[in-house]
Amino acid sequence: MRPRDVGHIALLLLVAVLLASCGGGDLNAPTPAPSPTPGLAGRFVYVASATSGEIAEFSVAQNGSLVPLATLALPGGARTNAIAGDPLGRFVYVVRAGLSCT
Amino acid sequence: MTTATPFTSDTLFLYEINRTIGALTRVPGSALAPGFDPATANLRPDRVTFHSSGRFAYVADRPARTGAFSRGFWAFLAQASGALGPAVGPFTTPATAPFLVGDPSALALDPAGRFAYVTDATASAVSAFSIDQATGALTAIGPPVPTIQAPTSLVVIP
Repeated sequence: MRPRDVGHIALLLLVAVLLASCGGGDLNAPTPAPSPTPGLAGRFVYVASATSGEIAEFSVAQNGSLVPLATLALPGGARTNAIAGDPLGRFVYVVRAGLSCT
Repeated sequence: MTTATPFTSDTLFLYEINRTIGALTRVPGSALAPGFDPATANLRPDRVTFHSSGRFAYVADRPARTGAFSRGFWAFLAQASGALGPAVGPFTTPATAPFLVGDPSALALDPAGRFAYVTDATASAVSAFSIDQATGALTAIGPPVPTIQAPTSLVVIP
């Protein structure tokens, strides 16, 4: 290999390294959309019903749409009128509705 | 500062919180800013849900249990004074055959404030909405997703 060829190969390697460090050098690449604040985006949605005594589970896709997971029956055929979660995302609390007085 | 719904009139009461001792003091008048008349807007306030930024509050129209379908949720800009308004809305769940109108029963927001989720008690479905960060307006993301019968409550977990 001639010294001139070695110089060309070294130059090509340098250009390749520079392009790689610049993300390929594509000036027309779209600016990435801002990502949601870590830890704050909704990951799951839980739906409760006052009449069916069930909890429906959903996961949340990147665009906010819902993906159904499982449906759980409350213990003992209980019914609920409220569901809440702790802000750390560790627990869900389900109010068991009392018997109607009607 | 928090709000509470009245029993008989179509308005909102506003209370200021004493941040030292927690005591509530009623702010005279309505929490709804002058210029928003709930009677003219056909809004029967039922529940209030705040956006995580504190910039918007969603006020629900009274749900179907009173004999009429809920007309959905209004998005109010929250002023520094605690007053709510101006407002955009109402936002409702899409009509789902065979039902001619939506019947939104509960609303929950994701903690990041990007998306809202609304259950429909009559259609037994749940809808996802994106939130306009300037006005609080809701735009549906896809069709309603079928779920358990007559959903009345929901929660978004981070």
